[in-house]
Amino acid sequence: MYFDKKNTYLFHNIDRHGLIINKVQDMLFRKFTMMVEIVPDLQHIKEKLKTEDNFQQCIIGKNGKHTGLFLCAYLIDDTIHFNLEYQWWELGGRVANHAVTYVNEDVFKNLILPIHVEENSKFEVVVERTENEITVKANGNSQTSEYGDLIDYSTALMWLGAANRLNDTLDAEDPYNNIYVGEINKLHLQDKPLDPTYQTMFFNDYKKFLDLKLDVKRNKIYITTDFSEVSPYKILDQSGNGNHPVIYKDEWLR
Amino acid sequence: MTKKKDLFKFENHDYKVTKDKLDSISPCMCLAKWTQSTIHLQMGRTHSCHHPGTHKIPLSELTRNPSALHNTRFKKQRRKEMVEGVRPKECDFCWNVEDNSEQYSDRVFKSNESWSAPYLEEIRDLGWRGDYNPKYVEVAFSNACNFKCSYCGPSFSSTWVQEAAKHGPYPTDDSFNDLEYLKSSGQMPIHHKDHNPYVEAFWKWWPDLYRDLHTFRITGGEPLLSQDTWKVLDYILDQKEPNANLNLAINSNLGIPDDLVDKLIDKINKITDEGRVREFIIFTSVDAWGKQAEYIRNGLEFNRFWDNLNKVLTKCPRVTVTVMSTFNALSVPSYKDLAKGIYQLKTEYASTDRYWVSAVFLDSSYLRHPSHQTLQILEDKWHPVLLDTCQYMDFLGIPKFDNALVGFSDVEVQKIKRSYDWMVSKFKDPQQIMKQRSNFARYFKAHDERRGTDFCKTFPELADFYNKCLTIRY
Repeated sequence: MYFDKKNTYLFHNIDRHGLIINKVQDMLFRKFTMMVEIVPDLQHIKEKLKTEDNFQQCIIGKNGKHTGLFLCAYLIDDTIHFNLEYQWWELGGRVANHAVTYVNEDVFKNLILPIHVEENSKFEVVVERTENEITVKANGNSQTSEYGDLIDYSTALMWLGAANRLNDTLDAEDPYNNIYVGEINKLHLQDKPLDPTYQTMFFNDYKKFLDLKLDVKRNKIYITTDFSEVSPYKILDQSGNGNHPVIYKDEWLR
Repeated sequence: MTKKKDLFKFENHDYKVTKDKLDSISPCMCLAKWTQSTIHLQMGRTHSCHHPGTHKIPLSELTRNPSALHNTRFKKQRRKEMVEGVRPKECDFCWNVEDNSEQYSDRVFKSNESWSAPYLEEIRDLGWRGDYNPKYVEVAFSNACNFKCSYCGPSFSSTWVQEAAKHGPYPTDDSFNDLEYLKSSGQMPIHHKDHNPYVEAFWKWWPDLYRDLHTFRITGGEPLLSQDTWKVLDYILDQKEPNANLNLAINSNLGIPDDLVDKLIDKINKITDEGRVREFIIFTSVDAWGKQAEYIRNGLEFNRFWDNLNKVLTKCPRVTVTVMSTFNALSVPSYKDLAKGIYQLKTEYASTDRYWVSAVFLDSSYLRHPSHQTLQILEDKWHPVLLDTCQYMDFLGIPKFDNALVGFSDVEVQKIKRSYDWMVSKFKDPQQIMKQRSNFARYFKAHDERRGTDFCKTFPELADFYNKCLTIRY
């Protein structure tokens, strides 16, 4: 499915029919395994870099002090460089400000995985967070980092195809929205670690992966989708968790 | 960084407001006890909404006051209980929903309807004693019907009367559809060809009632087999100044002869073309998909039914159709297919010419009687199947309340979810479940013998369960 400014989705945090088993608020909260297949829109990136030196797009993440998976692009000497980044904020220690008053400052953290993007490049990305480490893998490469205590994301909204859309004005989009432009063709998120065999199966034989009928409760699965079934408003969550992301429409907020 | 803004809200605010207003009178208050009336003229019985059982309309009350078809002394006592904060026992459908889930009950949905909510103050001021012309009236003129649905009976179906007269009651522990019991309890219908004093009283009340009506719905039996149905339509066509605010509805199984379907379409189009009603709705019923639906509603030919449904939607461009499902144990295996089919109709026939752009609504209520066919008799392995159906309907749902959006509304999704909540309710009595499973098997064994049907062939996914139930000795 192609994502852009008109096609961003929200995992609504109000389960108004009581049909979602594993709640949206818990997504990306604890240990997790996330798998996502993307095809970035290189033409869009090139256009954007004509007026900006660098920018980032959020593939899936939470707003506020953002956390999530980002595609970052920047120019160095007319060459475009790309990173996949998993970003998050941690609780910081006490620091002194200029008036020698101690304050607690949250700390921005990011795990960077350089990638090479060509026209129609497909990336099979796996993000795994364990007890105190986080790993980003894509197309045979990986990076790992430690992480500490996350800030409070309990009231943040979870977006697909942006870091945030609440800041849109009627005239222009907010640069902090980090709207992703390109395809997202598969997505799976669960709390329990996932066997590498199943990770490969997810990307290479999605139907077989679905036929495993992984236990939604035991694995704490939040969503599984290949975006093959969509309504005018929602994407079908095929996991059995009932967590169908809803297309974002600004007029529904005003 | 993000600017602060209110979180995305999906809560339907209207329901909350209505509930608060009702509760300010009493937590047991429901406007439907005044504003809604369902009158079974074939039996001389009435109730307000269809969840409580009916009660007899004393002929003595009618002779003085034909509006006693609705304002019986019995009903006034129930109104008194509500106003004084006592839960009428007959309304336990809603008390079960309110006690076992966080969903709104029909008490809130019905009190929020446009035929109830605007009248809250006048009802509060009238109190429980006065006669009140209801705004939403449903009448059955007779029990003439060409279907004999598995959960129905002689009171509402003349073909059920014929079968029960020929074969006697079914061999369940409560002798399901025993004609002798119906006669002794005043639920035996007056034959549709005999004089009916209740129908006579209706036509005395009608000219006064017609002017006050918000919604008038004709049910049965099969309404299109009753001459009184056509009399109502002709009455509306003959009025120099019709009640143009009227929402008119007719139930039909859409399984009657083609000439009656065509006659209905012709009358509907005349009435709507001349602006004689505000909205015209057809209510029809199906509880599953395909052959399984045919088994549950004996007499139904599914493909013909679906064709007639499409015919009405095509030829009556301003009509809305509500498909009612009496959600029972046999609905579960194929209900997702029905939901998909209804969604297809919604998208195919969506039109701004209709009052609601979405042309079709799926209205499900879980069956409670007969107990042997309810959802609760099924094994737990069916719970995820129904949950999946609920989740799928939510996927096909609209993201906010707006009659221009096409998809399942909040009410449609919440009603099917309600069936799921009831199905998995932890307050089920295990002894009762075993008893009703035994009744289930005995009922459908006799059903197959009497009607030439085959339960296991039609419901292969329930065959093992059925065979297990046959072995239960109760």
